[in-house]
Amino acid sequence: MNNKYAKAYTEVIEIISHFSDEEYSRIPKGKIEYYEENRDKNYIFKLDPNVDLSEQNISKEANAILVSLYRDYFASETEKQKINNVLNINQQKLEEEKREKYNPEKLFENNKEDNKEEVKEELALIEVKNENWYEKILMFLQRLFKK
Amino acid sequence: MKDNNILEIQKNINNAKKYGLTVLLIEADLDKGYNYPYILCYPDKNMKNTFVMNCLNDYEQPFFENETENLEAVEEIYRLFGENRIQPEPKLNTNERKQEDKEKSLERLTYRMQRATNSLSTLVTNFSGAPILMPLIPGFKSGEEHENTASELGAGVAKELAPQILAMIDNACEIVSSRTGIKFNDKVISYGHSKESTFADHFSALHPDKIEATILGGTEYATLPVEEIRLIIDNNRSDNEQFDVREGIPYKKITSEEFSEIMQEYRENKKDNQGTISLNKDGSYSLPMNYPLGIADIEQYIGEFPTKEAKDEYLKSFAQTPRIIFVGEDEEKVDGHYAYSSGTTLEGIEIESGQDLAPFEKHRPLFEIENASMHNRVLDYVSAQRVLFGKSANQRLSQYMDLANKLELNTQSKIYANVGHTDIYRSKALSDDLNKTYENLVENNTIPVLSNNDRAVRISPVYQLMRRYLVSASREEFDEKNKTIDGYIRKNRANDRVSERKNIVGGIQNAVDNYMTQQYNLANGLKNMDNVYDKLTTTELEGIFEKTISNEKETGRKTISIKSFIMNALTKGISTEHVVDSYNIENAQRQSQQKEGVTKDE
Repeated sequence: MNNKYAKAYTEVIEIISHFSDEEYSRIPKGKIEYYEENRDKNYIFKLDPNVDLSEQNISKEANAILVSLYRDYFASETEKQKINNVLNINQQKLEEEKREKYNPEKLFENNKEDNKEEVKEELALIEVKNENWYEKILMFLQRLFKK
Repeated sequence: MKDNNILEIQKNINNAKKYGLTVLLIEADLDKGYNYPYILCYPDKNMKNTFVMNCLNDYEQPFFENETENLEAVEEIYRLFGENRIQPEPKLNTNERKQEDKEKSLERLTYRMQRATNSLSTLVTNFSGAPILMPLIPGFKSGEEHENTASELGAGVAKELAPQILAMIDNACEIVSSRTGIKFNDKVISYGHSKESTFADHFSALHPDKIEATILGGTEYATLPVEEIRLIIDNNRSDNEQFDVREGIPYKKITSEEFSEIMQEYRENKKDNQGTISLNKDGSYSLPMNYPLGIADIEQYIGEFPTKEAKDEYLKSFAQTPRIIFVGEDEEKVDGHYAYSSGTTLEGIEIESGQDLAPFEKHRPLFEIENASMHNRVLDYVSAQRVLFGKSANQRLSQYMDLANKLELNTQSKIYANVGHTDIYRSKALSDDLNKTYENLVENNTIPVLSNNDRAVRISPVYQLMRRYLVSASREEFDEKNKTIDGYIRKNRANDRVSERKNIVGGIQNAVDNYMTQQYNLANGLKNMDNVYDKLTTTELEGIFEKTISNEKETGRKTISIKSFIMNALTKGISTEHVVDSYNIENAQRQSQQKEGVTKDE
């Protein structure tokens, strides 16, 4: 078994134990059994409900599983589509990061700073703001979830 | 280098110089060996030393919403035409073709110019740092407007034009060298999409020694370095019969009916100086693969090989030249340009052979789509190509690649997902591949192995959205009431004339703007994503989770809703790739466990 995913299953088992009964019941038993059977039993992961989730070191594998669970068993069609959009945005960002790492192409490196303001004026698309992308997603999702 | 025949177009383009892109129109110069003009475009900084040559243009980019007409540039181009400094009269076989009047030539050349400048945007964004050479070769078929390009005029035109292209390459290297001091590779990358690819391929086959690589888009065939294909008649052959290569000669099983079809067609179209279909001792029939399908009669185009070694060198160079063929996954479904034969659409619209089918994408019967997708059609060999390589574009590409591999040609192909023929440049995967290929060729003299060769990654909708915001397309819709092609074309051509002048300069500006957009995106990376995300949040994400789970039951313990975890996950960058991985791992594990279970039971 992939060690990362074995650990992730342990995390998922712990996380879903904090769900409400109603939410927990919507996850198929087969799924939970699978996670239970394949989890890393030597790995200890404890969730503290009093600590912000972003600080609890949930692995990306566990996060991905949670997203798939939500998409498959909780989300409406519209929500699925919207989640997919966000997943794709994140994918795009991931690819951009890979591209930046991989591609040494730095044309106009010397004068890009000079051009920046001018390009902003030329292209309607370009509008640089101070907030970064994940802050926006965070704020946006927070706003929606807190409705 | 001072040359009165060079027109610095970019001085009339808004901000072109500021963006570091030089665009020159090089007028025809009979003394220098080319009687057509060409466009030369290069970045002022970080230019690489290998030209990309793109002859003819078949692809139009949509314009920017805020595009403005540059009257100065329009006037300048018209002045050139008016003074006959651009030579419209073809130095070709004029015996069979009536010479066009000046007005028509002017119109046609203007159209070509428009196409050329539009295509620049594709080139500068997909070959970063490349100097670009774009010959402006018009079509000549009398009685038709604009529809024919050199690529459609057969092998003879390629023969006539090839020396001119070679002269342009030398001239372009000289001009840019004198301006920048860079010494250029004397080999070029021959690139083309759709009809352009036909010429790009034909030229490469004539002069493989001048080609660094051949990159062909929207096509499913390229000239093969073979003189014959041997046909074995077998009425019981399978439907998916593959080529067999023995001692460098391709063999293919076909039915007797197919053989008759090929025989008849070949006889009807055979030129005097081409070989006949002949019976071999082993019972197979030799079908001569004449240029541009193959090279059986290649010496009639490039001259006789002086020695056997010279021919071997040609074949070796041909086989080793890197060749990439790419198509859009949806090409067969909706794309294709021209009816391959006369017929009637499902709606009863009469279509003539060679008619542009673009307005009828949703109105075609299957046979037209199949026919229209034969972009690389070689009129003399319709049946042969269909019988030997397949009826659909993807079948032909598959068969071609199978044969190319068996012949050990340095050829790769790739099918890009979610795009068709005319919108293929919306594929980010394609753009990445082209840029990577160009860079590897220049830096390492190799081409990368294209990843995931069967299917490219899906295009991110974000990228599509970016493109949507960057450019705004206003495409003519097919008029349901106007069910005649003539009517449709009359209407469109009237529109063309109105927008013609704008398009000339619009294309160049489009090129510059696209180029700068790419540079900006590269330089600013994620900042660009912020803006796209803004657009998404306001247009598509509004209302996300508005119907999230409700009626949560309060329990005695402190619970955390799954929604909180999802929000946390998404903001931490969980992407499609991660989710897909989680599915795959689970599925693989389940299957493995099931097998183990079965084994244990047994």
